[in-house]
Amino acid sequence: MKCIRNVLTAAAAITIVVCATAAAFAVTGDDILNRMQDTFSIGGADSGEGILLSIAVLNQYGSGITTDYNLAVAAETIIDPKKPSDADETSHALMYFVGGDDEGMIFLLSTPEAKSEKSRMWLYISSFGLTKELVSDEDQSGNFAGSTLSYADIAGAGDLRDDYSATILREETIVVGSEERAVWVLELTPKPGVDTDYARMLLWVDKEEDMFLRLEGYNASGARTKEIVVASLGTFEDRRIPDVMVGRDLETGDVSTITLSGIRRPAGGLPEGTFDPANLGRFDPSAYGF
Amino acid sequence: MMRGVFTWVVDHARWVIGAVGLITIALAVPLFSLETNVDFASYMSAKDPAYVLIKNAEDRYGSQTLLMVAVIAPDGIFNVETLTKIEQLETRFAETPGVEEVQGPLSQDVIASSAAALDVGPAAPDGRAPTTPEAIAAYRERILSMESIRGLLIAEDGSAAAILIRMERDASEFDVTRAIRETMNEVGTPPERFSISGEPYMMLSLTESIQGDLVVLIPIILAVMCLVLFLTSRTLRGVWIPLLVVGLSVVWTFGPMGLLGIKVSIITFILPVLLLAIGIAYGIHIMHRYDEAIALGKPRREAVIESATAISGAVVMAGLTTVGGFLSLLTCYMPLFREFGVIAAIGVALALVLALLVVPALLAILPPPTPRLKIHAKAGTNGRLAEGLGAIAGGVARRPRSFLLVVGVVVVGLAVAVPLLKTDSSMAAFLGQEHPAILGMTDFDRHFSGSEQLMIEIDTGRKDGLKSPELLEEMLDLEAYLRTLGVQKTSSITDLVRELNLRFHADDPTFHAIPSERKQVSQLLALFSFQGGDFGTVALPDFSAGEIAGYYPRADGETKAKLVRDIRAYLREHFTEGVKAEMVGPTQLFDSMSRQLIRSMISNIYSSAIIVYLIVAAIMGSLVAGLICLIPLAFTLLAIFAVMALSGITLNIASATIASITMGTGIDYAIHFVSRYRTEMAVDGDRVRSAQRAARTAGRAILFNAGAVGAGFLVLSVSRFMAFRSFGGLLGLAMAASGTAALTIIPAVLVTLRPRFVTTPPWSRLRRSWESRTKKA
Repeated sequence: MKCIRNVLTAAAAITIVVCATAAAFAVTGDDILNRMQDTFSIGGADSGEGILLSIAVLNQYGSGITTDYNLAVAAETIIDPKKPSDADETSHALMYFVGGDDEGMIFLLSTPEAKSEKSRMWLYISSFGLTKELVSDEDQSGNFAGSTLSYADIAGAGDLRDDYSATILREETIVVGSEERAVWVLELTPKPGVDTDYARMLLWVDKEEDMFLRLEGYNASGARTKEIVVASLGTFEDRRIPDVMVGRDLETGDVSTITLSGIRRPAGGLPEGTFDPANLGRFDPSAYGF
Repeated sequence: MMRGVFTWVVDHARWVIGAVGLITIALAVPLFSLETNVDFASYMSAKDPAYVLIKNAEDRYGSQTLLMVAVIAPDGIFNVETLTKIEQLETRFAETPGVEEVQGPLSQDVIASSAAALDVGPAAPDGRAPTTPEAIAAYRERILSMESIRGLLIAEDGSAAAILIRMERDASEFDVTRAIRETMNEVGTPPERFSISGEPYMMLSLTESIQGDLVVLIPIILAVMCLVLFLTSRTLRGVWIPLLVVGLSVVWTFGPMGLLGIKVSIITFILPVLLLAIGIAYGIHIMHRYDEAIALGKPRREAVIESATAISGAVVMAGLTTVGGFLSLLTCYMPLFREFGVIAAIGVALALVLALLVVPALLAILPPPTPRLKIHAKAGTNGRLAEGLGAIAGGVARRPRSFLLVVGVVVVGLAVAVPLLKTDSSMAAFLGQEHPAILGMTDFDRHFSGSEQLMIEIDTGRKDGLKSPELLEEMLDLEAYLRTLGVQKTSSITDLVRELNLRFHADDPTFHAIPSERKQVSQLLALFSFQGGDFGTVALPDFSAGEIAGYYPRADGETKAKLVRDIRAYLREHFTEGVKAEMVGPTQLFDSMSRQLIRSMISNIYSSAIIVYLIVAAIMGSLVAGLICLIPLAFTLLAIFAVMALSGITLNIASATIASITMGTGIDYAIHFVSRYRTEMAVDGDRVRSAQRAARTAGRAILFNAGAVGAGFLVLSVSRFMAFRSFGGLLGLAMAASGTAALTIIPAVLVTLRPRFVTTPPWSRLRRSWESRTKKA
């Protein structure tokens, strides 16, 4: 349970990566970073159908303790035609806890494209039948204390472009599962005056899909503290997506494994009002085949 | 054999000095890499159940090392000036490299609720100090209503505030602590008072005190020893040669420690002082004998060889008993004492060996002194002091039974007092109430819930076991019971669940309770996690187990022992069905340490007595002689423990070693007197006159020796550590008592018992027996 937010952010990240689209060839590290961020969308803005995912998360702590969660996720990017085109999208991710004491709890995350707007989170607690918005001064995508993975770690939701400068260290080929992938290896260093999680990051970015396949975070003394690896790739709608991601906190020894066990489009799309906080209590996962 | 050794040393004096010099230089280099280990928990046996419990808990829940800064304001903290200083401190602490998290009364995140939302934000608006009277009043009302903050970050009466600082895992605790202290001193101007506390500061403070102590103690002990040496030798070389030898032994002892990475513990660091006090005598004896030989007109080479050969037996005997005394610490339960015993024994052995090598080598190459010792030799037997000592011994020997009866009465009186002796292994007992680290704790005792912490682990052994409402209610009952024992504040998952329930239901007070359904508990905890909450020690990630923390004001060893007993009895009675509940924190550790101290001290009394007895019996060739020599030491230890009990000096980490040091050094006086008595008995066989003559001759040397060693130990009285101040005084007293007892009780015992070894040395009896058998054969 310690990593519950982590679970959700990781799940959201998978959703993001799943929906990433390829872009034009890049020549500099910052260009590649821009392409990664530009392809950032939840639910597939181009499709308008939304997406359904089944995600299993296994946390193995350095102390030997393990916890696991199963989530049924519905996500969609909704466009508001009244807004300017560069700020008209809002990505929604609804995550339903399956099984255990938390069965029926729902976490809803809405992330607007407009930088002037903040992400919002709601939590529906089924045992009380109540929904509350979780308001915090902190960045909702920030790292959970002691967690193995965070939203920013996996998908760059904290917007790496704002915080880091990137340079291409080299190009190489790495093995993911049973296949070889051509990657750029980027070195990210914090921009002056920016408070970042890492003093240095290395990113292995898939040339074809513009998604990272490996991430390493380093602290100020040069020690590697975090490692996230895409362990295997799947395919969805002609795009390669990560099936299994493994994150390691090298300081605590905690390991999180996120497995995408199912992905599909909802037949006939997601009904209007699915992502309305007032409707969370009425969300029925069985209606979507979960 | 010894003559051969000394002949070789004298003939190769420059080689010996050169080799010793080279080794010393090589061993001096690692001295600079010596580190201290001031972690009291590490002084325990790794197999000790209390140590295992706390280590397991650290492995499971992580170390909760906190630095705590208290701001105490004479007129309360709710004014612009004080709150501004608190804001500055919180901001600057948070910017300090190595600081992971700062919890302060302004910036601490709190949960506020409304019908639609839960709002997490700083306790003060934007985490800044309110500046208008209205804003301050609103802030005061808000923060004092928060149970989780009141008593922890704000004193109940608003007179003080606390800022808690958690460090990054890989941060240098000392560097961060120094930086925090510097910031506190810069911002912390009157009228408020600022103090710092917490384990990292305690460690830093202990290390600084050790360094500061050595800077003060070493020059003082050197000055005292210079004085003693000058008074006994009246020559410059009589001062610098013995000092050099002991100095070398210190380098030879601590150098390898640096090389091997052995850290200097809280008691090992006083070893240079002890070595100087104890080891100086070896050099003195050799030089004194050499001066006598020169005074008798012997050529330098012969004087050195003869004097070293003649005195080596006595010096080796004195060294062996001291080494044996220290090695007796090997039987102690606590590794701290075993390590100290071995290092001290090595140090004394090195002081002995170096004295036997370096002093003759130096004397062999230095020009001989002007002979002028005849006067002293005469004074040794006929001076006023000698006459007085002779008179005392004579008086005792004439009425031995009466004297022993008086001694018996005194012994009974002392024995009655001994059970009053208390044990206290706490930091406060070791450092003293006025130590800066303890003063910081006192502030937390006065203004907050207390500086002492107890931890109880509740382990269900199954995933999500802690989510059971029934178990949470039992934990609440336990917390209520803890408060009846003087625990002022508790913190556990029960507080969290109740507060979350309250906030989730828009502060409706009826919901400040454990929910009745397990699912509700589980989902409230999920809510906490969503808000970025860290469960820390209150629960493991799988909720199979968690800790209850209790805070209480500083208490002595007896109070803690009772607390531990009562809590354990409650846990045994109330947590039975599949739930394991046990104390795991520092309180039970220090309680166990107190019990180990007693165990170590008792075992050390026996082991040091046995070892020293065996050495003395072997040297003197008589089992009875060994027993008689132990009598003054038994009396001395009894007197020491009675003085401790009556004066309120507790048995602590320092004083637990007193038996081994007293036995190892004090035994020399008894041996010296018995040996001399035996010699005098050979003259005329008159017991009373022999006792008088022995006291006249050996008595003076015994008094000087005890005085010199005692003066060295007394130097510890200026230590920054209260434990060592009393320890130094007790050792000084031990030397005085064992010297006096050797000169009074032993003559009475010898005259009363009339042991055979006095008139017929056992080795000679054996020799005669062997010779007669050989003849018959």
